[in-house]
Amino acid sequence: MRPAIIFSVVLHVALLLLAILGLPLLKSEPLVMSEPVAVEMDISELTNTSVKPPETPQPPAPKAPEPQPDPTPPTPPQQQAEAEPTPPPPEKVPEQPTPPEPPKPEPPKPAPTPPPPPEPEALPIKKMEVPKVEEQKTVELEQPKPVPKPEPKPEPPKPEPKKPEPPKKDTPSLDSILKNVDKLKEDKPKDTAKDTPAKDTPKTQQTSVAQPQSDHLSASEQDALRSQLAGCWAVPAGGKDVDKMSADIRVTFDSSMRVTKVDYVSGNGSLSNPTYRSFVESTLRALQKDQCSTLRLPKEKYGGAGSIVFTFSPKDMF
Amino acid sequence: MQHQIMNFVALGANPAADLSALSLFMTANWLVKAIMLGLLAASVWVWAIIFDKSIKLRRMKAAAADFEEQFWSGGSLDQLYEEVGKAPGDPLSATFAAGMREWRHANERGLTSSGAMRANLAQRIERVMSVTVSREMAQTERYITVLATVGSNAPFVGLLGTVWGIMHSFTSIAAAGNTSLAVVAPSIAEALFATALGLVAAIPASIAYNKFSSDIARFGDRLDSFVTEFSAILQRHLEERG
Repeated sequence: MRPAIIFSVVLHVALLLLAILGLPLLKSEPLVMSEPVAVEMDISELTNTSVKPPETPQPPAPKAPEPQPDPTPPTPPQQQAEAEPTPPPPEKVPEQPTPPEPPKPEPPKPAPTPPPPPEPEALPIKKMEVPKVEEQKTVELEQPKPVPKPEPKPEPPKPEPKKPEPPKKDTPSLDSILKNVDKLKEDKPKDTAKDTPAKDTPKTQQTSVAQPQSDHLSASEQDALRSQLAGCWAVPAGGKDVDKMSADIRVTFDSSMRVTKVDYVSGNGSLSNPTYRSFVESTLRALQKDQCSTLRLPKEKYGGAGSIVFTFSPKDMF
Repeated sequence: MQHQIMNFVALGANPAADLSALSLFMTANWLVKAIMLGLLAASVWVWAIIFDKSIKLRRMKAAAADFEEQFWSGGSLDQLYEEVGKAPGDPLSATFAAGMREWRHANERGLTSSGAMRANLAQRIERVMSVTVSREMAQTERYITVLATVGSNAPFVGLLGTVWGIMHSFTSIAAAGNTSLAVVAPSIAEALFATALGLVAAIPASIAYNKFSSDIARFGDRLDSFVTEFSAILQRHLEERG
């Protein structure tokens, strides 16, 4: 009997050791998931909303004033917002005298101006607010998102009140107007910098913690990030109207793109609604997962720590 | 509200608990620990019995086959008794030796003279051999009941550990005030580990019990039939003499 007992003890000890230490043969390799690679294609001019859209509106802008003498006052703001080098300023000057009646110019203006911004934003889903002061680049990184669209439209009116005012001052004389125009040009960058963030932030209802040193994300980079987050995100299936929900989540990350903080910013539901609450919690959980702890963002574009506001919505991500 | 959510996330983001066998054991409740140790000991004992019995049964069968070959080879039974009788190594030869010893004893003292005495001798020899058979079988069946007991009771013991562990995990829910699965999952895992150990001990025990009990019963039949055959041979011998 004794040899059998010894044999049995040895067997159990061996099995226990095997269970505790593990056997290299039994360790299965972690499943390798093929990850989408962000391929840099040279379509950034098409997909980046900030630079091109402002330029394209320029040609129409001068035209608009010609048919309608009244709207001319609004044009200066547009040009300000768009680019300094544009020749139009001289044209405006003659017309600006007319603007003394400020009420009229304002109503027409909203019509022309809003369209340009919405068009770029029509594509965007996600927005990264990064105001860049040089060249008036309003660094918006937007991905096609239907939800923000409605909001931008009402806001454009805001800039109007400011802009009409400078023209009024100019009215006294041509020279002074010209000077003012020059001044305006000089001021433009600042103004636009101020204006554009103001415009952008309200559009998506994002609080204005901006990321100063970032550049645009190309569409492929946005897609990479989106598919990364979509992979981590388990949408609470079965909740009522989950497909219509969306939540803006601010993701703060450090210089190595590791997520350090996740905040709920806003969304289209109320947190007292349990379904929406679990929806929001699922998005927060998504960013806690290992595969999403390091964001797939180009490091060159975010040197140091930064933050982005990412909109989770099942409709757009799946 | 954001704070609430962040708290929730901070809880949910606990690093995954270590679920290796050792840590499952070390974090368990004392009763669960005791049950696990007991089940481990039962498993060790069960396997010891399994090894012991399987080796002994195989040896017994081989020895019985050898002996039967010699017995039926037509050689002298006295000669066979000289070889085997003093220290019989297996139940079959022990039975033969017991019968032979009684037979020789009677012959030496001349107890085969009358017919009544011959009938008594035949009866006595058969009784002596069946006593030997039952003694040998008791030796062979030793510890087999342990297998039966472990096989039927280890799952219940393991289940007791699991129930106890799950009770404690629910008290930890109450303590944490949080119903998150992450709070209960580790203790439920360690509680279920007790059931796993119970099954690990019980399954081999129950399989081995079924196999050994049928093997031993077959061997017992073999011994019984040998007793009958041998006593028949001795009786014929007596009657030929008389």
